[in-house]
Amino acid sequence: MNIAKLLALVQKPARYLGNELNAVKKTWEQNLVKIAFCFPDLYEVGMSHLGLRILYETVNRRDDALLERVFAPAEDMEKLLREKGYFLFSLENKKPLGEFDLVGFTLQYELSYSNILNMLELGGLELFAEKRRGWPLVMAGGPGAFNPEPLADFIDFFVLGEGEEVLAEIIEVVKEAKVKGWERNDTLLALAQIPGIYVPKFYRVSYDEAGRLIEFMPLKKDLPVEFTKRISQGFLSGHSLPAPIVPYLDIVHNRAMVEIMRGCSRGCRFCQAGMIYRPVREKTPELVLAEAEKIMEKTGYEEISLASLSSGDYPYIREVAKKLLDKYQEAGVNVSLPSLRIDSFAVDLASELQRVRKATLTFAPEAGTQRMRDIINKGVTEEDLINTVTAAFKAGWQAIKLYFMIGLPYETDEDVAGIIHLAQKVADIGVKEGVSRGRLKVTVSVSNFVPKPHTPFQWLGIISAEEIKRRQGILEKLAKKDRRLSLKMHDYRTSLLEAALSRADRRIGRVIYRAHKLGAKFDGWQEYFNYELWQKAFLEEGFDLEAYARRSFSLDDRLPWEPFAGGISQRFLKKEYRDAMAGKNTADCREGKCTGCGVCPALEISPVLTGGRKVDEILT
Amino acid sequence: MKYLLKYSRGGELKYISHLDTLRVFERAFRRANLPVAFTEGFNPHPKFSIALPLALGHESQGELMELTLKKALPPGEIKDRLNSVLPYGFKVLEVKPYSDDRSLMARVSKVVYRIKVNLPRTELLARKEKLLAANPRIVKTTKRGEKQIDFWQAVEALEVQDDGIKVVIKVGENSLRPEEVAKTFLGYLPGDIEYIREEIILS
Repeated sequence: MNIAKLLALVQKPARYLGNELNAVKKTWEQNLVKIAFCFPDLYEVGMSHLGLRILYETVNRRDDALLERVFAPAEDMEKLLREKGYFLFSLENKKPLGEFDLVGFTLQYELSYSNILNMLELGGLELFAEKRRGWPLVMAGGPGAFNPEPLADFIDFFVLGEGEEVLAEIIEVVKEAKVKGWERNDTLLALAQIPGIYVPKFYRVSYDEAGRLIEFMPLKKDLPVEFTKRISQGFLSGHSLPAPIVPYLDIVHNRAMVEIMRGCSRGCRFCQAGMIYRPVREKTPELVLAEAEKIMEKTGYEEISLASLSSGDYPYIREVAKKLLDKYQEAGVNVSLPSLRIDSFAVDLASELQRVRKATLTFAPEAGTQRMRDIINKGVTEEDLINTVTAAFKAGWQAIKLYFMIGLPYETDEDVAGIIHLAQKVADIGVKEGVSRGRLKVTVSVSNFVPKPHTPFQWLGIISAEEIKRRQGILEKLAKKDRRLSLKMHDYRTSLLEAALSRADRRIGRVIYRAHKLGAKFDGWQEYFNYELWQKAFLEEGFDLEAYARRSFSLDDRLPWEPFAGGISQRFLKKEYRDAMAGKNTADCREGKCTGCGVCPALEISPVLTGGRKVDEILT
Repeated sequence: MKYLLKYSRGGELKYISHLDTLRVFERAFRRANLPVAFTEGFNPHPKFSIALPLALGHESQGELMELTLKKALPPGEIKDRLNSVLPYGFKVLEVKPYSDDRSLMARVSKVVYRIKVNLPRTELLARKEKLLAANPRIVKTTKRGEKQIDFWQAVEALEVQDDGIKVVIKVGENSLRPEEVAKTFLGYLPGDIEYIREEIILS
């Protein structure tokens, strides 16, 4: 395949070079297990994803396997591939998907699902799993695998949880299957024995007219009906990332990413990541520093990011950040934190890290009133926010960005208006602290709440399109009067599709297929997103998109994604749902008291906390 | 302490942009542990500048860069340390102290390009004759309106070679891009044309 000829004809050819610093191009040998890691979005997005980088290292370190990268081609490249009859290729060896043993997709967000079908098609593979013969097997993992059903028609097997160790087990099975010449079905059956792996074709699934799960029946013996997720024990012993790839292009997150911990047990009730990545496991500061040093040596990046779901919660964050700054400041290296808590400690930390104060400081109160924040268990008070922004303005910041959601359960118009009122209080503090009128800016970014599986709000549908528009109207009207505020709101149509897909069941596979046939791709990009197309695809398969996105279940219903909770107990989620209604907060288990979420006993592990802290007694 | 670096860019790395190139070098300096000087102020930048941006898609055998180090190092060591960390496709060819008061960018006066095309030598020679007789002018649209550039004013020399042409193009106000030179010369731009910058000539 002469890809080199295409490079001269496309925008940003560096997306397809595959020869970046630290990229691994192995000799294409028959006996290697060959894995294509497919990220269903552009290079710039996919290369910013830490998971890809970790698995790239994990597999390519072995001498019996290789892993190469495949991204969704941009429109111009796709057009060329189709015109010239070339297949979608991996970056390193420029091999079409069909020449790999495993083709793996990462499911990071629902709006990338149409790209998966497009990539399979461009790769020359049959879209439907049942039509494929021989190799490769198509697998998928990532947060989306916790509700695999909408993609069950297209994916041979799903992997729940962290990939590092389970991927090694998968490679062993594939190696044996290749040597012994197993049938596809036998290979899948062997894979289905591995904990955390779900092979949809071995299960009969049915739903009633309300979409409740009626039947989830294994068609082979000894297969699980409930799946536990995998976690990587090696994560804490420093196995990861000695030499991450350094892209030529300016990608979304263009920096050295050093993972400091996994999981977050703050327990915000809207947050799926907080549920599916439990328990919290913190790396020791020594390990974090050693890894950062190794990565910097191999990459020379200008910025180090201390990455996790909530880096402000890492007990040694200040110590680690300071040590890194001391070490690398001379060489012009910055240290950044992807997520800040709402407390003045965060402001102190940000002041120390940022020599340039012109940057905006971002916080996420998520809701505008205390009542609402109690419902979602966002353990932040108005006082916290006031103190934090006061400290920020005092420290010299002039622009603050605040993240909120509308459409949260039990939200009233006062809660919606409360968002603007809170933002105005923040702006008032700015004035009081002497920020000049022209410079003071409070950006209010408001997204639409999308209920996700395995959260305490999983039973609820999204609010209607009309209702989102009406509540957005309230925000607009209030914000218009205040020139210090800059209001940014999300498109309700994108949220409705995300809601429909995130709590979808196996029947929606047909809808995704139809949307793909109608030309859906890059749905997460405003310039490509076509809502009418998706409405049509739902209708043609007998569903109404909005009604589907809005459907609610009762607490006694069996949910389509219930088998894939990975360890989170339904009892815990129901308790959290009831506590939400009562406005009752649940404390973080890192404070010592187990909340009974079920993950630790299910996986036979405990949170790994540094500095001698521990959770008293794990409830079963 | 200022140095002048001469380096090449080739292979598939011709497909990266000027900004990408700046990032490649900034990171390479760090991996090579070179004591690069930084600008003062709130947002410090490493002190280095490239004489003339190289277009995406063009190779080069003679790029020039001015680099300031906090402390002096033997030029040979700078070259070796960089070459051991630069990605395949970049190569430092020569390092020497830079003593001119003027900045490198201000001194660029001409560039030498090889433009490779798949046409017989006789045909290329005929086109050159035609071009010499016609003395064409190229119309360029700039922010301040249209501008006419005399081909033979902008192109100081044009030599027909076995696999294309070699041109010396003046750099400055009434300058032509190699693509414009090629298009005027050939009448069209073939898909497999290649551009190789051979040299940047300083004043």
